[in-house]
Amino acid sequence: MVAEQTQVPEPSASSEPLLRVRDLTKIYESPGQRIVACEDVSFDVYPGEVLGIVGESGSGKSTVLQCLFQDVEATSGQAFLRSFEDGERSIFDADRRERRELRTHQMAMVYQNPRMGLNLMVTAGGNIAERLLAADWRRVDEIRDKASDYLSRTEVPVDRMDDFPAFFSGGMQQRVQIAKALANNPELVLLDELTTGLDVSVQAGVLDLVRDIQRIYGMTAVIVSHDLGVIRLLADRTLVMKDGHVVESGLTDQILEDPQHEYTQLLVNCVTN
Amino acid sequence: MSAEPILKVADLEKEIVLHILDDKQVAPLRGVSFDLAEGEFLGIVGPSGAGKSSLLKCLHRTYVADGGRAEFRTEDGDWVDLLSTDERTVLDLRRNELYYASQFLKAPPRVPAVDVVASLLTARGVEIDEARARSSETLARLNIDEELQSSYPALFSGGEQQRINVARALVDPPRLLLLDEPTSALDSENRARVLELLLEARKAGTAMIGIFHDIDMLQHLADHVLVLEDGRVSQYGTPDDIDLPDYIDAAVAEFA
Repeated sequence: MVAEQTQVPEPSASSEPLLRVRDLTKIYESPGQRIVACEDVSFDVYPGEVLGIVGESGSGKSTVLQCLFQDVEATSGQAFLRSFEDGERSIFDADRRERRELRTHQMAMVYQNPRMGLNLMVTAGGNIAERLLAADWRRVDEIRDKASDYLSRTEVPVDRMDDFPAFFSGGMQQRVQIAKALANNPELVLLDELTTGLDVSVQAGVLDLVRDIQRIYGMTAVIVSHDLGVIRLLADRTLVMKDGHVVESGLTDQILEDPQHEYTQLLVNCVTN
Repeated sequence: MSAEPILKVADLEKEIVLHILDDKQVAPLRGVSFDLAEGEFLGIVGPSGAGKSSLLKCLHRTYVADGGRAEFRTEDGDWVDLLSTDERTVLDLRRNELYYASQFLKAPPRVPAVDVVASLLTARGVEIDEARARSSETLARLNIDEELQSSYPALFSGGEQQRINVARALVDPPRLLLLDEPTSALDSENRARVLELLLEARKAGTAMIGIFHDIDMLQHLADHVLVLEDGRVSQYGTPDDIDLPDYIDAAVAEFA
């Protein structure tokens, strides 16, 4: 269990969205080929909320996150983050410097594969320091304190701080990645299939960690998963994607108990519990 | 009863289209209307498949209704249509004013029973220590001792899980409580304890809609009874006014 320090900011129905995504489209085009990864995807995320995106592989759900974190360039559409230009200019119009700042200060991504989010040949503490340095932290002692604080919050033994994540288990690598992503308190966290590929018992630990962090610190996040159990546990509201489009959205319990779209009905009925 | 109305349900309809079964259609609710006042208890009775749970789930928005309205008067005095208001408002109401106790506990895994209850309070802004103390007290009143309180509910018996559910519903009674057979797996001793808590909540002003197969509970609690048959209201009145259908007695006989 994560140490309880701060109080959750009181969420309120009247608050403004923290992120507004409008008509997000990503098309991969090469001679003779045109692949629509996602098309006209729109949604809002409110402060303190976890929004789930569920769908099978190839549905475009990870592409949405990659476009938001600007690992790939959106073909068209807009995304407004409250803290970027008061939410009046799309983050897709950011210049290089602003884009870098969005990725280091305001947003964080946790990838399915820890190799994407971590430098495995830099120590666990060094990985967190990297992120803090990018976010303009300068004092070595403060950085070290912060790194050990976040590693302990994510239940990575602090005596492993100076070891290389390359030699950690998959579950522990994922914890270090989460610690790194959260270390400078990003406004929005993007979580892409964060438990896929982990053993069930390790999955449970990572999910409990994310749930505790959400509950205690009121993290705002978009979580992408093909696993309805993960979505059920973490998300208040959920989008269902198929073939690059949002086919249904709603309260998570409604999506699971009274799915409206044919594809969602199929998805829900494939779960064996 | 002179209390203020808190909920006005009109012409509620629900239809389910099963696309994966060749668009098979079922219509659990075919136009249900009733009013509910603050501190009023409405008992719902009906044969299996009559639409009782669908009614509660539509009000909780776990189900999407297909017609009608359900105007709820919020703590702030605004009237909100539970069937059509935006999802953020529903989440906010669920956090603070509206609670649905299902027949089966759906607790998150690996969370001790006391915290399953306390999380409801912390979401409402109560400090964790106080939340745990209050939760522990409510659980104790429902015969869940300290050892069980610190264990994971997934390991509990059906009756114990049901009492965790009731504790969640009643540790800090909401303004509107939806109860879906919350005592179906309890013995008479534990049912009496639940009854005591429900009576306290009703006295404090909580409006309740409860599905019960237990005639004793109905007679102790219900100000009105609504009989649902085939998705429609077939009778509505005080418990003494209406003919309780045969299946109620049959259900009670099973428990006796």
